[in-house]
Amino acid sequence: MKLKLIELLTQYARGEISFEPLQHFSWAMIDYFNKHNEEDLPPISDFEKEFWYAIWEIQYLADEDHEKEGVTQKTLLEALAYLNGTKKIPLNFIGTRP
Amino acid sequence: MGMKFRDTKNLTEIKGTLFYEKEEFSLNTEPFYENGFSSLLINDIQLEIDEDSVLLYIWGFCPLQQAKEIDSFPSYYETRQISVLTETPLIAGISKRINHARWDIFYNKANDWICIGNPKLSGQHLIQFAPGAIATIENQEIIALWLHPIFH
Repeated sequence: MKLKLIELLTQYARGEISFEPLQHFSWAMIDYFNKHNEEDLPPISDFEKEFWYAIWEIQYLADEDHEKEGVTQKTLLEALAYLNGTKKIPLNFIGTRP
Repeated sequence: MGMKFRDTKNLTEIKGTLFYEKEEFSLNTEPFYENGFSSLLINDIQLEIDEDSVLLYIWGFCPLQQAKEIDSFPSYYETRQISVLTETPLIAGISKRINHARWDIFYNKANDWICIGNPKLSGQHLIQFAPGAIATIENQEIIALWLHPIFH
């Protein structure tokens, strides 16, 4: 799922897709983690914080209003950099499972 | 809601590879050649589709801890494009569920085949429509997905 998220964010950054597939993916992730028991969920990964930070930012920012304000692309590009490991996610940023 | 599936044309080549990430319990198809428009859901597995309602590739979660063991796997299938007909229009980014009650998951450990749904093979119409993904179609409905990913 990390690779899928990286791919989607990369496509979004290149202007190849709109925010809708990102929202679709983030809802699929949240829905899965909400409705399954602990034993059916993947174990905690070392990229957990970066992954869920990106998911929650997508939930909050991937819409027309935020896009018009110009904050969506900037924030999601940073989230992509954290996922790729090219930037370190700040300690005070929150990225936890639902 | 009703959905009908039909195989629309032969495919000479299916590009990409289906992977199963053991640590994430997830399926992913790489690389992504085409952008999905929407998706259909079987359990937590997404069948990505394009704007012409053609099934493109598979992704999503598929935990195997409670999968039932199985010895069979599809040995003969056609490679064709599958399209879905829906009663109401598909909406970008919103998935539609094929199954309401969850389908059983079967796992052939010896050959790394996963089956979601009805595993019967005899006399069935099996179509590979995406990398590592075969659908069993009966009366224009998908009754099972056979997946043959590379395990990571």
